Amino acid sequence: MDGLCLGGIGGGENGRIGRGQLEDNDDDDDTQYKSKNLEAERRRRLKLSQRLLTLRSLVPKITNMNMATIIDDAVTYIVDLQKNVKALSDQLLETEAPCEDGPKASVDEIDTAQEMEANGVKPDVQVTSIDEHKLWIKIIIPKKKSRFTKLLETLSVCGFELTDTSVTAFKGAMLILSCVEGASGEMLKASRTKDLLLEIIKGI
Amino acid sequence: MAVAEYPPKEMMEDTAACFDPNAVAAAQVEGVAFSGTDGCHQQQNVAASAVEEVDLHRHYQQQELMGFAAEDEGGGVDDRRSISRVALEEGFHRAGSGDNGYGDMNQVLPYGAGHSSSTWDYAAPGTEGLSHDDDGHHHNIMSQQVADPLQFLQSQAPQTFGNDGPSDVFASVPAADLLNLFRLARCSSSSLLPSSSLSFANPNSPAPPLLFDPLVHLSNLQPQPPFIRELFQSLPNCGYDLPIPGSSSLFGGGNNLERGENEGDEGNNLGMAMMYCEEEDGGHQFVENNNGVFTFGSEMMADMDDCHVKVKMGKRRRGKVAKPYTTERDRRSQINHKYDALKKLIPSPTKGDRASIVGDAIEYIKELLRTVNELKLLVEKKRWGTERSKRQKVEEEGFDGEISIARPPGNPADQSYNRTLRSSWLQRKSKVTEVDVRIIDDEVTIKLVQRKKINCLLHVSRVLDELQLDLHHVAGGHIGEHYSFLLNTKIYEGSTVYASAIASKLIEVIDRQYTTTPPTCSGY
Repeated sequence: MDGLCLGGIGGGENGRIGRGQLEDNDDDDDTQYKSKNLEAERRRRLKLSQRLLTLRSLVPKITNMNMATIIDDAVTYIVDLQKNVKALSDQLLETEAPCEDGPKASVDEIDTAQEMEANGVKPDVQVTSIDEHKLWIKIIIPKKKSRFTKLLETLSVCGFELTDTSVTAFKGAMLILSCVEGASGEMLKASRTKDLLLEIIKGI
Repeated sequence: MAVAEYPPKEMMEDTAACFDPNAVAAAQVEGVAFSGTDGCHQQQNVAASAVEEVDLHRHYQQQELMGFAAEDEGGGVDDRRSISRVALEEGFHRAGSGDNGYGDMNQVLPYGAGHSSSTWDYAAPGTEGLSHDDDGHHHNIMSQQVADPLQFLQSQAPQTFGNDGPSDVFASVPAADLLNLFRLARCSSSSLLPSSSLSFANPNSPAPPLLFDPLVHLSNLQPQPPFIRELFQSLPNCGYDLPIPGSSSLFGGGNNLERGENEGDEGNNLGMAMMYCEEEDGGHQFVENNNGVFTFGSEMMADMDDCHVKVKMGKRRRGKVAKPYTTERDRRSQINHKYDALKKLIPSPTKGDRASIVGDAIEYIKELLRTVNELKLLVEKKRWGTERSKRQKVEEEGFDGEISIARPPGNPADQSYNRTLRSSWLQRKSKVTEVDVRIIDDEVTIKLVQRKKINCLLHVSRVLDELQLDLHHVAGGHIGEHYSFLLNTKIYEGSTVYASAIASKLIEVIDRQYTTTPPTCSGY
């Protein structure tokens, strides 16, 4: 698609084509250079033109079919869409119904603890030492609304940093498995950490 | 021509102002002027001189009209103007030949002379400040509305001058329009626009077709350009931004008419304006007039959307053949400007080369479409939700304790609306963070990659709480240099959070934390 219908793309490449032709000194190497460059250039132009075509297919209003107007129309279309989005989101925000989560949340909490028991899941805290600096913790607690956040907050305050984490919620319980490290590289003791965790859990 | 002989100061005295932007009148006066030139009577001296000055004036006024803001842009030529100029020159030629086919014009002259004293005198103040210099000065004259001469001119309307163009057309334009034309040409206020009978808002009115016929004579053509410019200045956004630089004249200096230069700028704008007219009116009649010549002065085109309307050469056009761009370099710089504009719009641009800009634009457009759909759905749901809750409030009162977990049963009617699955997906990247948010119905899946520095899990969790997302599953950790997390969350019932809000909030929080945290010397 050398003679691109999208006018003037070739015009923009004048410099680059010229560059390829400048290396016209040697024989074999150079024919390679030239052809490589030519092909690369061709592919590049092809890529660009295909994408422009796709762009044009997306935009509903098209005026002229040349390269610059495609971009212009795309710009106006995007601006239009952004305005739409803004209008809709404003509309959404202003008609925001009062939040009804309050009563629900508390009901949730009561329920999860009960649910856990009902399903035979027991709260648990385990701490194992992997390394001098690494611990592995496992926590099972009833799941409540912002509990995980609070746990993380407290842990970070205590100087723990969770590296690899996996959290799952199931049957009203939350399972947290994580590798924990001291934030400043200190040594951690498993038992001490366990006590600490138990206390934390009681508190949140 | 006799006109040239007139010393400038005489022009100061008179009239011509009274003929003002009304080229029709001017055209009439042209006839009058020439007859006056032919035989200058003493008593009619005032009238004659005034008339001749009017004639010369008319040129300037045409310029004025064409170059509304009096910016001396190189004039473009379009068919109409070429035609009008031709008409002008024809008129001049006729005058120069001293042809006496204007017998009836001599009749006019006494008529004109009879009124002349009053009208000219009236108009006299208006001519102050007029000079032979090109543009800007006409403003003074122009701004002085002269009612009387207008009436005088209007009364001339039914007269036929024995030459073709002006009279026919002039006759067909109702007098009231003339007044509008006068005023409109001078005031740039948009309030006048509705009053104009040439208003674009009314494409079905019979009057415009006449005016936009390419063959319509000079007299009717000239008032047009100011309309267009004002129209665009005054119109609210019709979905297409048409930033027209206030300073540059849309229709270039009318100097072209006299000098015969065709640099094409004006034609561009004219054509472009025409083009936009076309767009917004959905194919208004004057589409076919869109034959503007386009050249792009670089400063002019920086902001404007431009239509690459190729020039259809008016056969009678003179001067150099105007190309769309003066140089290849201009063209390239234009295109680069546009690519830049596109790039600015895209939220997370990656590389700067054209292909990737276009690629990103494609993705962004798709994303915007998804967002729009999502939001529409949400709004719908919300509306239904509020209605439903109103309906069910009566029922719910008895069920306080049991509502919690089970979703309130919807009416069958609601079900049909709720069946449309809400889905959306978008990605956002910033320098250190990458967020991918997918929403299906009420489940949100978030993928987060952050170049490790802070304990982002904490912040993410906070954000999720704020957005009322219920964390169901998290997996991730430290991978190489990055923190990577996959989070599965559920949207609480009744919350109307949407994808882009989530994504942008997350990125915002994380970036903020990233920048505010001093670099920690971690063991890694």
